[in-house]
Amino acid sequence: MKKGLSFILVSILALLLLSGGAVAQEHAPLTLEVCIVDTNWADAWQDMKASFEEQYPWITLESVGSDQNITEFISARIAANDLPGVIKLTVSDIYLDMIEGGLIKDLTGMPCAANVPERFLDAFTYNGILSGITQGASFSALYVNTDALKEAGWDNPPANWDEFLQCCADIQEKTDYAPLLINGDHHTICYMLYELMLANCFQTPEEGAAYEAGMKDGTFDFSKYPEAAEKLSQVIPYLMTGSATTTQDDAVAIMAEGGAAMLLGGNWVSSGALAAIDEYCGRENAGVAIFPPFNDPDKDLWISSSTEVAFALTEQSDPAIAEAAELFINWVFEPENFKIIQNARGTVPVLTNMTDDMIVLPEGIKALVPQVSELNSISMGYNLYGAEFKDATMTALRDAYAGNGTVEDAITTMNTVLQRYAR
Amino acid sequence: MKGSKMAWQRKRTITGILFLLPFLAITCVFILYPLYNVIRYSFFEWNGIGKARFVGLDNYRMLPTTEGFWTMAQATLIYAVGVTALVVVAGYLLALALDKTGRFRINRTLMRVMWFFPCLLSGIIVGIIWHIMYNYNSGLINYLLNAIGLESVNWLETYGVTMLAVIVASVWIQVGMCAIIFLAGLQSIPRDMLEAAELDGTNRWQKETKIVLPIMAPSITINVITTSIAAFKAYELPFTVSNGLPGYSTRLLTQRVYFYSFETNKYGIASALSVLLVIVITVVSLLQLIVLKKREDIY
Repeated sequence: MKKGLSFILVSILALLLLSGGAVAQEHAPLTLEVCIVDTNWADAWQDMKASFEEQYPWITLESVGSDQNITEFISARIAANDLPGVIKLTVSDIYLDMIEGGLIKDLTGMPCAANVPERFLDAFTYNGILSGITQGASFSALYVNTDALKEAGWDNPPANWDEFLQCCADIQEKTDYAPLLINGDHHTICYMLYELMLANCFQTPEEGAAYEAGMKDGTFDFSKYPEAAEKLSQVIPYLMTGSATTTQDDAVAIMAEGGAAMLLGGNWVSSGALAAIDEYCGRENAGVAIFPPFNDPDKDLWISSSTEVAFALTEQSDPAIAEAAELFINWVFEPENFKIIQNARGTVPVLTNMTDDMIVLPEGIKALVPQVSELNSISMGYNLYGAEFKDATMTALRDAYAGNGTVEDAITTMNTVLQRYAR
Repeated sequence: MKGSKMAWQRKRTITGILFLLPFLAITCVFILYPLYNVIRYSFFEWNGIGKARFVGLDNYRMLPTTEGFWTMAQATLIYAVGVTALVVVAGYLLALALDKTGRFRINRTLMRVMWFFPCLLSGIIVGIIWHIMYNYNSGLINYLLNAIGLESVNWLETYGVTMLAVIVASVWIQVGMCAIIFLAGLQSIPRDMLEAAELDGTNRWQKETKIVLPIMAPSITINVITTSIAAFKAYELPFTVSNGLPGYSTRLLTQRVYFYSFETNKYGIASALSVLLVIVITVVSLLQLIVLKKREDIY
């Protein structure tokens, strides 16, 4: 009798354990490491995490690497064979190596890619593998202190290259402002000044596409566009001293102190730059954003625009982690969830199924955003060049901006390095 | 009897080995194995992901042909010599000032803490602070120069000036530690010896050069060697102060190791450069040791 009772009890316990195990196997609690959070939306990350974990209670999200140099962090994780399930990537040497090494998952056909325009997907397609979905689009802009321009006799911002040069000359002559400031410490902006001169030399979209292809395969010849070099030489005397090493934060601070009349930058600095100008002028809308007018008077305007950092999946040996990562990235690129990031950052979203009421953009660039896709544009340099080109070119350009070297020297360096380190 | 002695000796040997084991294990895992790997990878082409490809001495051959290599080597040398010379000289003078026999008796402890304090700070933080202070438009240094009627200096974009700016920042963070070592040496000098010298009619200069300096020779050796090794290995502070600009004039070879490792993923070249730096540091340190030891013997 006792034996029979014990047998029944043991059987029940075994059954319970087995059934419990089966349930656990379906939704075993797990922690998914994600390396996507930037400081500019760190606060919104908590909302995103809470919302996702509520929907998928067995998955705990852990943000890693947000406070570190991203390439260094990813390199260290590669060495330890311990990559986070979801990472952010740019088109750089390390990530191309990761794709070639089979460490990045192909997102082709996944729901996260369904509502992203083809050109944004193309930007992150390498060797036929869709390696990431970008979190936004960026474009070049010129932030103008209209009070400074008025002081120099300009009621409206310049509309083309000739006007721009004349405006710079007037500001220098008639006011205490430096005509133009760039935060040259940042490689994207350092190259952007030349890149815009170059873009405005192109006549057709095909020429722009050839530049992008030539940058990637190392065949582009910068010396074939002497007018771009000439324009750069013409504008350098109007750059504020220190521009070559100015950081983005410094640049905003300088605009807030009335140091410069115009600031060249990406759309990502719009809120800070325009607020800084307004603060200095003591009135709203003193700062306006325009597209850099570096086109000749009789020509269409060209700008540089680009994809931002993309979110990507890494190959994982643990199927549960891989599945959770896939769930997460698909969830992120649903409009309701993606707006958490977009609203916090205020950058241009790429999801076509986001409605206007979901999108929050800084007032100053609202008027520019719809025009970005209509204007001729080339991809921003950071999507095209490798680390060696970046390092040598920015060094040479900064020398030119600081008056330590010539634009011609910089062009020679760019040609040499592009050919030598073509991937 | 003999057997028990042998057993005791064996036990002693085993005990000794057991005591050594943790240290040996740590040395092997954290020093020898990485060192072996750095040397090994310097003969390979490897991006940290795929399979490494043996390339012999190609990485070493390629190094001198890379952009700015010789300028960076020159910058490293200027930086190391400049920092070592200034830190040791300033450290010695500071130690003399802070010594209890010196003139600055008021708030001596406070002064020592104040000068030693920078050594406790992170090089990155100090670098960023100096970078901000050197800013052409809003930096404190130009503000002070303007306040006394002088022109602003473009500290971070002028060849030569920027290297000086980086060296000054590096001296500021290191001089306290150097002074503390000198101070310990100064305070170990028997006072009666100095008093006897005074009674014999030696002047201050003779006392410093004939008595104090010879006794301080070992401290000088230690400071010169440790400071120069630190200067050759310096990375974060010079990088944050000047970002290697203008041109490659303040870019040190250690920054190039980081660049090849983490920005281009070329671990082979990065390893070759690291090995080269280790060789240079070893040779320079040995030369310094030989020369300074000879000076110590002369004294």
